[in-house]
Formats: sequence, C-alpha cells, structure tokens
Amino acid sequence: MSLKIGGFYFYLVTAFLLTVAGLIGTFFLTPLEVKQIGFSQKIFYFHVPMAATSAVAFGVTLLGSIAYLMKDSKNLYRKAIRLTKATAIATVIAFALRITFNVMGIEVLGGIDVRLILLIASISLITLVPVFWFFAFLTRENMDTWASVGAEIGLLFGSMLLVMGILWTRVTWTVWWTWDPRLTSYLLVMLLYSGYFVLRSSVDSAHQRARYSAALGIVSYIAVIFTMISTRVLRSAHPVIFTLSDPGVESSMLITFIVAMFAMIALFGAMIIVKVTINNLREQIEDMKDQLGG
Amino acid sequence: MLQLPDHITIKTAAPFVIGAYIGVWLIATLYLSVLDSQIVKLKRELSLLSNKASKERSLFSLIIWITIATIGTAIAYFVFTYGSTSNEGFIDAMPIAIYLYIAIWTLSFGYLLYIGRRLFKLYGEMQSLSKTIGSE
Repeated sequence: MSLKIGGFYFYLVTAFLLTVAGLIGTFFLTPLEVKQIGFSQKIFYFHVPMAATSAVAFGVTLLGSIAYLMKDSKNLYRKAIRLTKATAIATVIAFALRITFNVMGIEVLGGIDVRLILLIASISLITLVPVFWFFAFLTRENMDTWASVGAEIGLLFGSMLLVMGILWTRVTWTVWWTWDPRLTSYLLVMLLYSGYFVLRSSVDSAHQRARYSAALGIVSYIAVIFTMISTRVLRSAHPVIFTLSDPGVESSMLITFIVAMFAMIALFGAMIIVKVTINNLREQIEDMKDQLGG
Repeated sequence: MLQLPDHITIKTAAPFVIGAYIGVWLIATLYLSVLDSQIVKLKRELSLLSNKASKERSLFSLIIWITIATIGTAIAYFVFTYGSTSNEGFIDAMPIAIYLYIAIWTLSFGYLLYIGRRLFKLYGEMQSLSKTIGSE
C-alpha cells in the first residue's frame, strides 16, 4: 500500500471515528444554551470547525505557493533548513516575549491580547516546520497542484460555512446578512480565492499560471488572517468564544468542539489526497497521450 | 443596529437549523459528485489508452435519489411536527437535526470511501500501464 493510499484511509477512518464522537458530544453530552440563542447554539460544533478547516485549506495554498516560488530559483532543501532555523529562533522569541509579558503583567497592547497573539504565533511557527520539509520533497508541479487543491477545498468548506452562517444570522440577528467585520472579511476571502481560479483559467502557460496564482495565493492569506482577528480588533457582533484566560465554554463543550474540529480537518486530509491524486492522474494521462502521439 | 431577540425559541430556530444542514448536504454532495464524474472521465481515457472497454459509471443518479429521499424525509418530518413543536422544548427538533447530521456524514464518508477506492485502483492501473508502455 502506497503512502498516499495509507494516508487516505488513515484520515478517513480518523475523521469517521471523531465524527461519531462529535455527534454524541453535540447532541447528548453538551448542555443546551438556554439564555438567548437556544438550540441554534448547536451550530457551534459544525460551523466553527468548518471555519478552522477552511483556514487550514487556504494555509495549504499559502505554503504551496511560497514553496513554488522558492523552488523557482534554488534548491528547496537548503531553504527548508534555513527556514527551520529561522522558525526555531522566531518561536523562541515568541515564547520569551510571552513569558516577559506574563511576568510584567502586560496582557493587552493597543487593544490586542498580546499573550493570545504570541501563543497563536508560536503554535503556528512550530506547525510550519514539518510543512517546510513536506514541500521540500515535492516537485514544483506538485506544489502548484497542492496549492490549487487547497484553495478549491477551502472554497468548498467556505461555501458550507457561509450557508450555515447566513441561516444562523437570520435566526439570531433576525437579518440574512449584515456588513459585520467578520462576515465582510470572510466574503472578501471567498471572492479572492474565487478570483484565484479565474486567474488560473485565464493564463495558458502552465509556468506563468502557477507563478501568478502563487502570488495571489500568498497575498490572499492576509485576508484570512484579518478574518481570524477581525472580531478581536474591530467592533463586531459576531460571537467571540475563546480568550486566553477563559475558554468561554464548559469543558464538555470545549472537548466536543476540539473533537469536531479534528474530525473536520481529518476529512479535509482525506479529500485533499483524493483531489491531488485525481489531478496527478490527469497529468499522467495527458503525458501518456503525448508519448503515444495523441 | 442589530435587534437581537430576547430568547430564540425552538420554533423560530428549527427551520433555519434544518435549512443549514440541507444547504451543507447539497454543497457536499455536489462537490463529491464532481470528483466522481472526474474519476469516471479519467477511467474512460485510461481505457482508451489501454484498449479496454470501460464500464465505469458515475453514482450521480443514485446520489440524486438519496438526496431527494433524505431531504424529503426531513422536510416531511418537520412539516408534520412543526405545529406541535413547543417553544421551550429541545427534544422536538432534536431527532430531525440528528437525522440530518447522520445523513450528511454517512453520505460524505460513504461516497468519499467509494471515490477513494476507485481512484486508487485506477492509480494502480495507471502505474502498471506506464511500466508496460515504458518497457515497450
């Protein structure tokens, strides 16, 4: 069994088991919110993991795009080593800053919870290291494939997220849509990644297509980051559940949420392997056709 | 300025919660059907290259029927129970939400497993064909 097939079954089985656990948690173990939003709160275990998964998917596009542009000029193995070193230093700095702020009792700088930002930064940096090495072993064409498939599945999860969000908005805010910072910035994300595919379809040369879309894939992720922090830095009606000092929910709700989130990410893992394999297979068939003279 | 209701009753929330699940169902099904049809197309092209007839077919029509049956059942259940739904009760809307939740995941996992199995079989065929052509 190849690594790819093994990976597919691993992610699918993991996603299935975690989903069953998430289902039990969502409907039988977590309490019903009774103060205001009632039953519609149950969307939390479906909607937020979907948002996280779409961010992960767009993250694959970002990393695939960076790796593509880097491999454009020089050996990625050396760059992976350099990036790993730089990441290690940045992580140590982030942790050191966090400890310093903690000792000095500084929690908020310019209206932003610095401890939370530093924690997210250090976790993200640590996560990046294996990703650098993953991309170091891919061919350039494969990086472009991973980047475009990431955007495609990100859009899929984003569409489901918007459908759920719009209907939840109608229930809790009594309107179908409002120009809230979170909603508006996520709509921008969707438009940017839709534009990514418009751009891809409008360029004939494979190399140029990959280069242009890699540039857009990198720039677009700024909008994803802005969406993540929008409710914390701007006035927004969108619920903010988690803060560093307070998980914001009961432990049963938090555990169910984490389980549901990993279920969704594992499902994404299985889907991206399938889609990348389809794209690779299509390219191989095209090459074979050329070999055989059409 | 948004006007937030004091308390959202199960009666107001249920149609939208169910609508959200159905929306997710339709998007997921549509995407998986696209992947399914792409595999069917690849299989046909590979069959042409290897001079073997392909009987590969998309599951699209079956999925349409499953979709109609699932969403139809959910809507029918909702229509018949909507009048009796109490304002405070969680239990009234719970069966339909669980039903749709299980239906979405069963379809997604089942369909994805089916797609994956066929795809990797096709991948194996492609590799052996590449070797055959390479050795010739």
